[in-house]
Amino acid sequence: MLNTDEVKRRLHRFDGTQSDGIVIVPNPFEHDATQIGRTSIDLRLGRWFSMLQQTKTSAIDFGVPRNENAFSASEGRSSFVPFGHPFVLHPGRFVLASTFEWLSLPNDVAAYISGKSALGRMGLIIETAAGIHPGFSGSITLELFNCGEVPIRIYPGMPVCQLFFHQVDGAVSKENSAKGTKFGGRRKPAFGSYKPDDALSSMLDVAAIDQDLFRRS
Amino acid sequence: MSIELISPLANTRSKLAGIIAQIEVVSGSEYPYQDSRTAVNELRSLIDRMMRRLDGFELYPPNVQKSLLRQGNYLIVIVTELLGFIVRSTSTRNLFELYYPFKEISKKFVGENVRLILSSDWQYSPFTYPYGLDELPTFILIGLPASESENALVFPTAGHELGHNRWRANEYGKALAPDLEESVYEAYEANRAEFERVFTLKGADIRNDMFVQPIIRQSVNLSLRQSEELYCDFTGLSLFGKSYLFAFDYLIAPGLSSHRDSKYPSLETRVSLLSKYAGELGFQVNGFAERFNAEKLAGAEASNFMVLMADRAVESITERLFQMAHSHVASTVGNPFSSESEAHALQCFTNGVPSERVHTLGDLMNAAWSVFNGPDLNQLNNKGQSKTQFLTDLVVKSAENLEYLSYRDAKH
Repeated sequence: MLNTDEVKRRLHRFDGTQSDGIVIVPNPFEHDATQIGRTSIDLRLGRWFSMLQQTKTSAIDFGVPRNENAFSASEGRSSFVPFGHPFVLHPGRFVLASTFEWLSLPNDVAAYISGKSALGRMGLIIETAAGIHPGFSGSITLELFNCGEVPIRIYPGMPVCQLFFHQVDGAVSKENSAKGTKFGGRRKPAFGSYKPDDALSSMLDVAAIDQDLFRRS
Repeated sequence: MSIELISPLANTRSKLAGIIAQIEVVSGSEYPYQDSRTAVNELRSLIDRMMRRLDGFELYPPNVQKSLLRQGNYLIVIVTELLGFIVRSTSTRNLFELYYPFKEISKKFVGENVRLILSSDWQYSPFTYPYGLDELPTFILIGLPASESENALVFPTAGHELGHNRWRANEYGKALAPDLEESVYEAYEANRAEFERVFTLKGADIRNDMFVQPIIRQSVNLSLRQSEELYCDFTGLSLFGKSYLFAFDYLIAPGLSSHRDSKYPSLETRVSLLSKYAGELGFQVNGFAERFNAEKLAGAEASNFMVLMADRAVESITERLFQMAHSHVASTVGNPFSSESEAHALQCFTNGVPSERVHTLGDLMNAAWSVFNGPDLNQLNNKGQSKTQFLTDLVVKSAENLEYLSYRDAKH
């Protein structure tokens, strides 16, 4: 794990003294020392939230491919909450959010996010998929869930999670890197595209054939 | 059998009640910033006031009653249109994060107390309502094409619309009218033979003949409108630099119509002047003027003549319009773009990240366009995102820094 002194040393510098480094925008090392811990950096909540429109979504079927843009347009709903205004997350409700900061990782650094204990103790879970791969670039999508018993008011701009960094032994190859091209990353939370992998596709095909044979017999 | 119509007062009260119900629905929308909500409240106040004025309706003489009902109808028409504009400002396709830096520019350029609503609209051309609307007197209302509302690269056209607001707020039309009128007279006098042929007014005293004055007035009015458009083009250029040219080209080239709208200078004139003054500001966009088609005047010979005379008059103050716009921007907004700052933003964008420094919107737009026009021709990244979408995210995240740091600095 990298301590924050090492993270600071590994920050990308556009004057050419440190290329292919870590990028965090806004940079908490320059703007807000309170975000810097010994081994983690606090990140703030962004202003965009994405929700599923329950009245239009009967089920999310992981056996069916999903195109993110089409899915977001037909079954998602976005909200923008200005600074100083709350987003109320009721018990049992799930919403996608994103970090205010934009993170970019070089090919030999990975990261993971974790909730802040003060918020977790009130029932706020901020992620279900914590890992951030080398080469990632963008605002990190957060999966917010209120597992508590009372509604929670959260505010864009508030510190909402912490980010830990790990050195990866050996740089990740370009083929395996999250950075397929330079231009990858987004500022809003994303539902993401999805496709069953080959093994699942094969199982689904076999099951479909079996069912078809059963119907005909 | 004859049927009695319902009283016009009852109709008007019913229509106003309908608008109030619509306003109450709109009031419940999620607003990205306060000014939209304030506008809705102000419109509601206007309707409430009209309702109160109708309370003593039966006591008024008939002509006052009719006038009141007409005012009620007018209010319903304009408030409905404005409500629609405000509702469209809440579309989550809009680039809300650009609001804060652009409002800072608007406050400096137009007036400290202005309010701003940025919306998208279902007409292709960017537009603005005239500043100083009776209904929302301190509001700047700018609409960008709905189809491009997620595209930050066309945002520089908002600079042109901001020019309209300053023009109206400072009544530049009134200040320039005497000089333009004189230039129109001179144009007619210089083209007397053609004037006499087209209007069959042989020997008319151009400056004093009562039959000539309405013709002159038309040309003066057109020259004022055209001057305003040029001032706005120069404002956009002064605020956003070459990104204004790129956005102009993107939206308009080779032209939106084969026929010229006489309220605007010809497209040829606009692009020629934009090229010229871009050069004076220290940058050139190769081949800019050649990307646009010539436009034809579509009217009758007489109306085309009036337009051409307006064109001549405007030619005489073009330099003055540019100096006005440029000095206004310089004295209010300061230096809206710098090559050093743009170079840093460009470096960040080329590396696929937003800039951590505070930049002007001009710097960010110029850097983004440089990347867009640059050698990396892949239009889609591996996430199915277009280069426009990705560059928009970089510009917007960079612009967001300004707002975030303003909150942070307020505490320190």
